[in-house]
Amino acid sequence: MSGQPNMPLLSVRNAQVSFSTARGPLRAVDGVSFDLHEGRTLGIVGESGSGKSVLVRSLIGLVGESSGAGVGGQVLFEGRDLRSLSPREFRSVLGTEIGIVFQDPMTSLNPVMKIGRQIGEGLRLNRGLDSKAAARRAVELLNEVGIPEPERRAQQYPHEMSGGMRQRVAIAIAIACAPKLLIADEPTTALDVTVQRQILDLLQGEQRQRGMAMILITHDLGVAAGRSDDIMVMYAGRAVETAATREIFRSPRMPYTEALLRSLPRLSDATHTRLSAIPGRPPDLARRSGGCSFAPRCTYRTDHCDAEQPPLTMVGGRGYACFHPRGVEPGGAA
Amino acid sequence: MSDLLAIRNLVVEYPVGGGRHVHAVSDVTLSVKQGETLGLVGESGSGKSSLARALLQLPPPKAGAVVFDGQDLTQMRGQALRAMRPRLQMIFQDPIASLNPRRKVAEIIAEPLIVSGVSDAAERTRRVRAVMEAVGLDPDLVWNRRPHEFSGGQCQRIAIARALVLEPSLIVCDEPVSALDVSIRAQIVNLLEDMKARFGLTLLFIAHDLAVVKSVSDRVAVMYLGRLCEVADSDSLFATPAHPYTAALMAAIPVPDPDVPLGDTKLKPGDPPSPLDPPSGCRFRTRCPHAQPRCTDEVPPLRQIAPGREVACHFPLTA
Ligand SMILES: Nc1ncnc2c1ncn2[C@@H]1O[C@H](COP(=O)(O)OP(=O)(O)OP(=O)(O)O)[C@@H](O)[C@H]1O
Ligand SMILES: Nc1ncnc2c1ncn2[C@@H]1O[C@H](COP(=O)(O)OP(=O)(O)O)[C@@H](O)[C@H]1O
Ligand code: SF4
Ligand code: SF4
Ligand SMILES: [Mg+2]
Ligand SMILES: [Mg+2]
Repeated sequence: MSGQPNMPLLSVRNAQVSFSTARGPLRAVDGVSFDLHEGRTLGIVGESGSGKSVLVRSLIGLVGESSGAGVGGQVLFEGRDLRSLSPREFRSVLGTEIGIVFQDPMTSLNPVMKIGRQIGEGLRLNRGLDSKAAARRAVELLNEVGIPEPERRAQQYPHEMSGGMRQRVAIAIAIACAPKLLIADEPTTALDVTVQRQILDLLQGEQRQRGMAMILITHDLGVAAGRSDDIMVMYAGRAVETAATREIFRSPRMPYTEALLRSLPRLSDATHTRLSAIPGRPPDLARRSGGCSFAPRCTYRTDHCDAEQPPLTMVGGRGYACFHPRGVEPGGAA
Repeated sequence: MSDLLAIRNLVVEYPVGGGRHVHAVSDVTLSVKQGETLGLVGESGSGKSSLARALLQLPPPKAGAVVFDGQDLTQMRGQALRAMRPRLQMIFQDPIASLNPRRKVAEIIAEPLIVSGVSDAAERTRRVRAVMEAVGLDPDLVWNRRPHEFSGGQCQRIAIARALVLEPSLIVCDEPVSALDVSIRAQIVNLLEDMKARFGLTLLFIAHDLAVVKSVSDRVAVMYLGRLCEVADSDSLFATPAHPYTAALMAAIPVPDPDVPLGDTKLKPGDPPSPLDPPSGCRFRTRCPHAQPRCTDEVPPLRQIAPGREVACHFPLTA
């Protein structure tokens, strides 16, 4: 079932998503490819609107023709092309193999169903447990995700819980059927840092203990640094850099990654240290230019950058979409 | 340096029916010195915005004094209070929502001038142009446009221009960069620093991003569930937090460096309690790993433990 040892669990090739808007077509995701191996965590970072959520939602069918989007590319999960499955087969993969946690747990929790029942539902539908066994397992899962008094909490509704607790419940639901892949889309953005820390510890603990692969979407480079094995940086709907986490932080290739890291305030800096700001702002996706999307803000741009879009180039296990990558001798590796 | 603003024993409560109250700000005493930036941090619901609104008398607090430049705003009414208003301005978290969508940018920035009685239109135009240029907006390009035509970062520039146009002494910035894209935040932080230097401002800077707070603040105050935990100059607060909550907050900051290991959480497991029914004694005691029986019985008062360092804890970490 788990295929050849080196086959990625998830392989995405040239993913495309476009929406038709009043101002014309908007390419929210523009040719993104990546591989994710069993047990690894891929952090997807990028600012608001860079296409992170649309990308992962399109992989699992939450964005598609039915929601008025044009979707292209290939999505292989354990070698099976998810986009060619029948709706029934697809639902079964989603219910058992892939778990999802969103930023706002209220969007995924049913407000009028008791917590315990919501956690057990997937187990009844996909794993064939009877109601009693599912209810027992739900209480165990609540305990596992750190909810005190799990028997009592199982009888409550989502509105009776705090934001942090609801996110724990959402995690319990996502892991109930023991998925191989967990997708977490900004799972802690709505939470306070102390609660964020606890939720990230929980996600990482579950991921390691169960050997799940995880896609962790975040706009916070600090979260990505501490929690992912590899990072994919998105800008304006494209993957502009992918590398092992340490390499991204030590030697960014793409000028956007470099500029973003430099712009962050650091606790080690003295008060009133001037921040190195990136000029301008992200482009309007409905008005794409033919060149590099970062060119209007980039210190290193040349005429070449305006004329042509740099493709994601893979060199020595890492990739960058730039004609003038940092830390690479001109005419060297590329 | 003398205090421009002194808040004494401030209380803000919101009735929520059934005779119950949210204890948003409880007995907070805090001062802001002339020319400094005081950072105010704390998690969601700790009372930062409630404190900010109460000191601007929007609405006035339930109890306590707000002494601004020697005058207690809570004792002032009508015309006298209106006369003080231009000297205290506020910038909000959501820049787009805080601007009137039907007004043109020039009208939005000129409005405080009209309200405060600058009746000469040419004078208003001159001042609006000057302040637009100061915040990096091109007056000829933005004059007749409306807020929805701008990005969040540009809207925050407009909001800063509006706050500056009356040449205030104090600006309260309530999470001014939290809603902005990561690549835009540094621009706005730098702009606020520049404006502070150029116009001799005093800032109260509210944020939950501790790295941003450290970067702009001379001193920092930490709040938890409506009470102050600790006030100290920024360098010593970050180097040696004295209050267990400050230490937990710092331990939770995600550091953008994969070689910095995740340390201990410095917290007992469990969620923050409800401000409707805060714990007795020290409000942090349900999550504090150092809590003792005394912490349940006695509210720890804010007291000085070293020059310029105040802590509200029975057992501070650095004594
Ligand atoms: N108008 C209101 N009516 C009732 N409760 C309120 C009202 N405004 C605020 N509160 C409550 O008062 C407490 C303090 O809120 P406040 O907005 O001051 O917190 P904050 O520190 O600014 O939080 P955040 O970081 O989320 O902005 C919270 O529990 C909040 O829910
Ligand atoms: N249903 C939709 N219709 C039109 N545009 C959309 C829709 N959903 C998302 N978008 C646009 O797609 C782009 C990427 O969005 P998203 O993936 O949500 O960004 P991120 O998660 O990185 O913040 C944005 O420009 C967004 O406005
Ligand atoms: S391709 Fe050119 S403009 Fe784009 S990031 Fe690289 S150097 Fe900058
Ligand atoms: S007073 Fe007690 S409970 Fe409160 S912070 Fe200090 S040690 Fe912890
Ligand atoms: Mg998103
Ligand atoms: Mg607030």
